[in-house]
Amino acid sequence: MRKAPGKQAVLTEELARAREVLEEALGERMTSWSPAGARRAWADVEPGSHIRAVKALKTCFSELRLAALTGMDLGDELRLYYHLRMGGSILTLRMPVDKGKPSVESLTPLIPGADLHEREVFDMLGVFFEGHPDLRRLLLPDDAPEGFHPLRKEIEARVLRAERTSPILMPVATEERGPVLTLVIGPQHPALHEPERFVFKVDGEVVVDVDIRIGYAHRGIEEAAEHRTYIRDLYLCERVCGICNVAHSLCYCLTVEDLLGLEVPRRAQFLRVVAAELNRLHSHMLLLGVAAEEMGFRTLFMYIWRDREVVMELMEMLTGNRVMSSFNRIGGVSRDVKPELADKMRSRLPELRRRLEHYEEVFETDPTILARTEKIGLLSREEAISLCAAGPTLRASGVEFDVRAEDPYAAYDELSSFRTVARREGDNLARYLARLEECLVSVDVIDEVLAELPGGPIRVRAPRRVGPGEAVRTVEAPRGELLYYIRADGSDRPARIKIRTPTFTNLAPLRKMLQGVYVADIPVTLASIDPCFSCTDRAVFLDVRTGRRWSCYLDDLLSGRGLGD
Amino acid sequence: MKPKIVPAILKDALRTLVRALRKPATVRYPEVRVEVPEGFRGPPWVDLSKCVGCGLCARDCPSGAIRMVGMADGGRRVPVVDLARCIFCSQCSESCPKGAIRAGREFKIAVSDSGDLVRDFRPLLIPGEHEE
Repeated sequence: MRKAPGKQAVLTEELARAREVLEEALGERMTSWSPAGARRAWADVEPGSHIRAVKALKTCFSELRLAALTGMDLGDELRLYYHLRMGGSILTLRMPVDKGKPSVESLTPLIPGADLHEREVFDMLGVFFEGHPDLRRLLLPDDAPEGFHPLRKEIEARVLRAERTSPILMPVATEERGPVLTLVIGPQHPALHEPERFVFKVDGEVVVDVDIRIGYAHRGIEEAAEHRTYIRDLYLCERVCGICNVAHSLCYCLTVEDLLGLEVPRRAQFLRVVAAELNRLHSHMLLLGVAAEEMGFRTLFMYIWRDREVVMELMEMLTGNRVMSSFNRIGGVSRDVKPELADKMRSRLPELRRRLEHYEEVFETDPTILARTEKIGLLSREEAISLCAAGPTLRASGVEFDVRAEDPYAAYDELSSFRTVARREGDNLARYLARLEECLVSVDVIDEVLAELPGGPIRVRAPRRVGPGEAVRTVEAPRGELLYYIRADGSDRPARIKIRTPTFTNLAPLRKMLQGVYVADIPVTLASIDPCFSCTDRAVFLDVRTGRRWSCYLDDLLSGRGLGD
Repeated sequence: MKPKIVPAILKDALRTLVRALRKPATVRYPEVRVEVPEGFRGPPWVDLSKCVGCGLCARDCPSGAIRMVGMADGGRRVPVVDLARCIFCSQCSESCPKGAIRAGREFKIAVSDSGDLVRDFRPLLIPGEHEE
C-alpha cells in the first residue's frame, strides 16, 4: 500500500463489478464486503455458497483464476480463503467450515486448476472436498496416520517431529491389462536439485497421463513461520526458494508493509526493482541453460551459464552475495547504491544484452532446439486459464497477464521500458522464447532504473509488532505469480502465513502438457515450466503384462539402451 | 528445418573456433588470488569496544547463531558468533543500535572442526577501551 494511510482508494472496475455479481448471486448469503486498498477485497460468504459465487463470477470474468486456497484453523472453526485473481485485482472469499464436520463442495469440477490446491488443504487441515476427483495426501507421506493434519491447532510441532512414517514409498498400483504401461520416475535423483515422483501412464512411447506426487522436500515452513518473529521470518521466507529468493523476500515485505500501512521510500522501490530483475535474469538464464542440456545441447548450456556469471557478479556488487540477496527489508532495502556502483553495473549490461540477443537467435533458428520444442507440450489459452497457470507458462499460451503490469508493486508502474511479453503458440518453444524476451526486457529495466535512481532514504523504520489484520500480496517471480497471505494478531509473530509458489500452480498445466508427448520429450517439457524440482533421471519400468520389473537411467532410455529385450 | 542445417553448423563451428582462441572464462583458483567485491557480505565482525550488550543481535538472528556470554569481569554480556550456524544475512549489524557489528570480507572460512567456527571477540578487547 503506497498511498497514505486513511486515504480511501477507488475500487477497480473488476471489484466493483464483482460486488454486484456476488450480491445478485448470493443475496443474503454474502454477509460482508470489505475492500482493502484499490485492488483487494474480502467477501464473507456463508458455508456452502462458494460454488454459486465462483460460478457467477466465472461467467462474468472469462480470465478468472484461483490464485490460492488458504486454509486455517482458528481454534473453534476452520476457515477457507478462496483468493480469486481477476485482472489486476484479487477478491478473497472467506468461508467458515464446521470443525466437527469439515466438508465442503469441491471447486475442481468448476475450475480444474483447483485440484492440487484442495489436496493441499485436505492434507494440511483435513477438510474434505466433496466431488474432488482424487482427494489424496499431497505433501505428507502416503502412510501418515489417518486424521493427522499438521496445520490443525491441536497438533503440536513437537508431535509432528515424533510422528514416524515409513521411508519406503508406497508401491504404485498398476493396471493388470491393456496396452498402458506405468512408468515411475523419481523421487530420487542422482544429479539434479529436488525430489519429486512422477507416475506416467504410457502407451508405447506416448504419455497418456501423469500423476505428480510432491512433498518430498516439505519443510513445514508455514508452520515454522508462526513460531518466529516477523524479522526472523523474512530470512525464513527468503529461503523457501534459493533461486527466486528476491521474489520471496519482496513479497513477504510487501505483505507485512501492507499490514503495517508503511510507506516505503521511492529510492527503495526502485532499488527493489533492480534486485528483482537481476534475480529474474539469473533464474531465466539458469533455466535456459538447463533446457539446453535436457535437449542434449551441452555446449549451449555452458555458454549460457558462463554469461550468467555477469548477472551473478552484478548481484554480488548490489547485495553483497551472489545468490542469497538479503536485500529486501521490511520498510525498504538493506543497502544503498553509490553513483559509481550504478555506473559500473550499467557498463556490464550491453555485453549481457548482446549475448542474450545471440541466444534468442539460437533458440529461434537452431534445428536441434526447434526439433525438440516446436509444437511439443501444447497448452491452449483456455486450458492455461482453467488450470490456473502462472508466469511465462501462462503468457506463452496467449494470456497477457503479468503482475508487474496488472497489479504493480515496487516501482513497476513508473517504468517506461517495461512491457509484458506474451506469445500465442503455447508450446515448449514459446515458453523458452518468452523467457528469453523477458530477459531482454529485464536488462532494459535495470538500465533505466540505475540511470534514473531517485534520491532520498532507502528505508523507514518498521515496528516489531504488527496490529491485527490480514493482507494478500503477489509479485511476479521468475516462474510466475507468487502469492503471500499473512494474518497478523497484534503480536510480533504472524498468526498464519500462506505461501503459494508459482510451480505449485503450474503443476496442473504441466500434467496437461505432458499428455500426448513422447517419453523422450518429457525432460524438455518438464523444464519448460521451469519447475522448482527435478526428477527425470532414474526410471523404474513395470511391464504390466508379465509383471517383470527392471530399472534403467532415463539417459539410457532416451538413447534406446536399457529397454530390456 | 531441412534447408539451413549445413550453413548453421558451419556458422557455429566458426564461432567455436573464434572462442577457442580467447582466454578462458574461468580463473585458476586457488593458485590465482580472487578478490571479493566491495561490500561483500561475509562473517559478522563484532567490535566489543562499541558493544553495550543489549542482546538485540541475538534476539533477531534468524538462525540462532549468536549467543550472549558474560565478560570475564562479570559486567555486561557480549555476543559470540557461531559461523557454523550463521547464514550471512547481516541482520545483526542492522539490529545493532551502536553499529558495533559489520560484515567482514573473509570468504575462506572452511575448517576441519566446526568448533573452530565459533568466533569469540572477548580476547580482542583491550581493557578500558569500552566507551560508556
